Amino acid sequence: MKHLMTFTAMAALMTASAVAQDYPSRTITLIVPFAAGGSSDLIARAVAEKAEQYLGQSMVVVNRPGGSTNVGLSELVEADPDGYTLGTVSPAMTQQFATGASSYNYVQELTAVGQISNVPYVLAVDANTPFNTLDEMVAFARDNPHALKYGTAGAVSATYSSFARFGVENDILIDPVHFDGGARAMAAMLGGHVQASWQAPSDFRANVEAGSIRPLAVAGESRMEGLYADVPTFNELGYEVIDQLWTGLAAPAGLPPDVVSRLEGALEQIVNDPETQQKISELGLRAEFLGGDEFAQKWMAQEARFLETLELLEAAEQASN
Amino acid sequence: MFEPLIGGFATAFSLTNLMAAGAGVLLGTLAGVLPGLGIAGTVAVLLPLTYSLDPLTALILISGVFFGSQYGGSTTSILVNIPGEATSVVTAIDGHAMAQKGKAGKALGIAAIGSFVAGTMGIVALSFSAPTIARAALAFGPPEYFAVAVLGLVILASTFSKSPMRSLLMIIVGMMIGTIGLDPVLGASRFTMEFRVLDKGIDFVVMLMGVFGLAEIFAEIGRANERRESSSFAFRDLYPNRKELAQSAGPIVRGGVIGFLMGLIPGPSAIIATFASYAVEKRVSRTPDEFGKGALAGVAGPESANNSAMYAQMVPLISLGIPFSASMALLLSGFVIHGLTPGPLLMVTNPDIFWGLIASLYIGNVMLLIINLPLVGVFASVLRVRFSILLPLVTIVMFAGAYSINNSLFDLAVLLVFGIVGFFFRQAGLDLTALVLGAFLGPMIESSLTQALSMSNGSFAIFFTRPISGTILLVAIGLLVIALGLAARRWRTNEKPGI
Amino acid sequence: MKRAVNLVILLFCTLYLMLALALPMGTPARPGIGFMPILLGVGGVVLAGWSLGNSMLEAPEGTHFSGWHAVAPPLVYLTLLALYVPAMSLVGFMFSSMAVLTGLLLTAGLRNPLAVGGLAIGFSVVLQFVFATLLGVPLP
Repeated sequence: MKHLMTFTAMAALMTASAVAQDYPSRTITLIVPFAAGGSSDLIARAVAEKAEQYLGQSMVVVNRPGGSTNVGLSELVEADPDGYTLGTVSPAMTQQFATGASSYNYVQELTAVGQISNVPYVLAVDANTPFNTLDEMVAFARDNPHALKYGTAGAVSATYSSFARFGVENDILIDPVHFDGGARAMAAMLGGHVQASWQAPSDFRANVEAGSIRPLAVAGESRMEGLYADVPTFNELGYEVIDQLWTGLAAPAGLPPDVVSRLEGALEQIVNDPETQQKISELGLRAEFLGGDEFAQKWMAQEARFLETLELLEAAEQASN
Repeated sequence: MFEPLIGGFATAFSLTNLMAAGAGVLLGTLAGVLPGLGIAGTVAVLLPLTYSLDPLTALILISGVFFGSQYGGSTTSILVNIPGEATSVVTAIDGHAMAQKGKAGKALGIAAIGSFVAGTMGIVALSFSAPTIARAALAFGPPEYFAVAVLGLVILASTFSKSPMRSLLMIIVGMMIGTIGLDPVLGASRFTMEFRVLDKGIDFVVMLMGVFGLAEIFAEIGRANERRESSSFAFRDLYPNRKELAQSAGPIVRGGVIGFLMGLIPGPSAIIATFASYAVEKRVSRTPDEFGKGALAGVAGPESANNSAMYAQMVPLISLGIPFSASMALLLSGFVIHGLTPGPLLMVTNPDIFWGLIASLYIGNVMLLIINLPLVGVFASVLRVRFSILLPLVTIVMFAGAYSINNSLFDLAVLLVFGIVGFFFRQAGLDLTALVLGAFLGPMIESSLTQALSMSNGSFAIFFTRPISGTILLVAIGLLVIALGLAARRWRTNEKPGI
Repeated sequence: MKRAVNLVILLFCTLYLMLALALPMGTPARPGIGFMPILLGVGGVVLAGWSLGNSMLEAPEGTHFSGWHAVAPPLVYLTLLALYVPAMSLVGFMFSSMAVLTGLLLTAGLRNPLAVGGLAIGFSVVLQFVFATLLGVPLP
């Protein structure tokens, strides 16, 4: 079995350049490390649907959920770098290795193809709390250590690390409660079991419209349009926070450059197709293409920032003991 | 209140929509009958196809799949002792015992009728009170989930075997199996002994298929040739008779109520509802000894409970936009790909969709009955096939089904291992229901315990100072004391170790 | 039988507890990943020990070994299925199913060679069609 795998890998490498000329000549598998129905899955399906048109071959979405995206991503790393196995990635990929959740460093062991969508995270509170502005929440937390709790979508996710870093940087003691996914964290907030949460605007949407959740700040460079237009950015309020939820395509490391550029070009056309744009905005997200090189730089910047966050959190922990 | 619903019926009653409902139910039943291919898989295959449909038609199709697969899952439980998913584990106990006595048709029939009646109860409750009860359900936070799960385990330990302590041991072993893989909260791997394939954990459905289905086949295969025909029955015996229907009315209504109330609580509640219903029926029954040997009420109650629980699970999705289970997350994406956001405002912004969906639930439910009652005969006649042919064929289908869950060959090895485990545990008289449900509830108990403790800064008092969780835990402790007391009395009178 | 199974369970629980003790326990306010497993391990070892002791107290069941003709079919069945998995990855689902199904049918006692062959080939093809073509499962 193992021999067989090494053999196919070698064969793949040797024929790589030959392959590239008539690439793609068969169906491409797109691994989504989330269950069907999530926003990553729907983004992947929106892209896959246009593959036939812009790439000349169809893409099949395969869901490999579990282990905070590790199941799907490790399968992607282990796949042949022939361009016939791609996967969707999200910011969690920059955290797995540093937290020990994965033995692969995805930032190193994947090839960036391009970014598909990008939205800033939003900090929101239960509308039953008395906080109308971020400053009010911070002031309360400063006077009442460990009184406020925030719900996260899991310990290996920006919904935890970014909020935790915000707490440390602003010298407030506010504790995480880790849930299995953002939906449960939000339910706990609506029930008053936790007071705040840091999530993608798409997840808050229905309840922001209904007035049961109050967004306090968005973590983007500028304000958002539409539903969140009145919500200030962290930077406007004097806190330096940029934290975005992006989704993009990646391939196993060692993908031949001409295959990368072929995919990159097709992806740009797909993302800029009005139909794709509309589908993604219906999810409450925003289509925004970035090329492979820029996307890879984004991964590295995010990983560096996360390592910094880990150090900050560790130092804070030691100081409190 | 009635006017918009009638408007909803007007929207939903088009030929296309009726066909969508029928197709969904049929596909769902097929998916439920093929072991392993659950709701999630089928809906995931269907979702992309619904892009081109009108939103309401797409939702009707998807919800049809839900009803169908719920019912189809109980079919395999009854016929060949392979529960397709957690909610039909309890059905397998008495349903399969009935099938072995040649009463498969009656069990299937009562499951279909019970599902229909309880389903209707669920939809009525859903259509008239969704927003109100959804708010109430939010009062359940992590400490309450923990309390409910503990209550579930206590009911589990005291209902399905004569020895609560041994059942407790099985629950713990099941929970241990549930901890293998990446932990649900921190994402660190545990008990995998460096085998990466174990990271995603033991698939629950594969475990079910092994422990029940494959183990059963191992036990039967030696005798397959002796049992030429499992049962021969006249056609009029296929369906439950009037007396049996009358007997089942109580269990169905009780099951429906228990299912709906428990189903509102997010988390493992639908499954707990099935065995809570079983426990209630066993307690109120005049012939409790019949349970486990083919009691009709042991099928009617839990089957009704799991159906109405499914509608209850739709309450938080439709009225708050929060999916509490994987299947609800799929239904949510059915909304989302059509540019709809279910939530508190759905009823205001898209009343036609909201009421159309409610109306289509009624239609789907009737469709389920219409399509499945005639199928009862077809399914039941599967058992007329000689066992020496049926068992090998079921084995192969099970392998194909187990593979299709995660497209993983490793899962087939897991299936074999649990087949062996199930075979020996059964020989030793151990409670397999407790084992698999322990594995299912374990991760939920662990995460709710951890979350509750984070909320209370580490104080265990949180479980007792909060009124809801305190009450539930007191009930659980009371039940446990009674069960142990009864077992101890049996032990004293019989001089047999029965605790 | 009962004793042997109980002994295996006790061994499993002990192994589990040993592995669990290596995981970080954390504090109640921030439970580590070993918190629950250690509780389970301790509970499991105690209950499994109790169960084993209890089964020792019971009257030993007579070993009802009724000859090889009763034990052989399940064993052959198991062996065939154990070979099925690697066979699938080598020659694919359809052909391995044909071979294994033939073996299973023979073990189960079907003797008519035409029926065995027909069922094995026909059913494998039908399954391949239903799962791979109709449902889009990438069978090996």
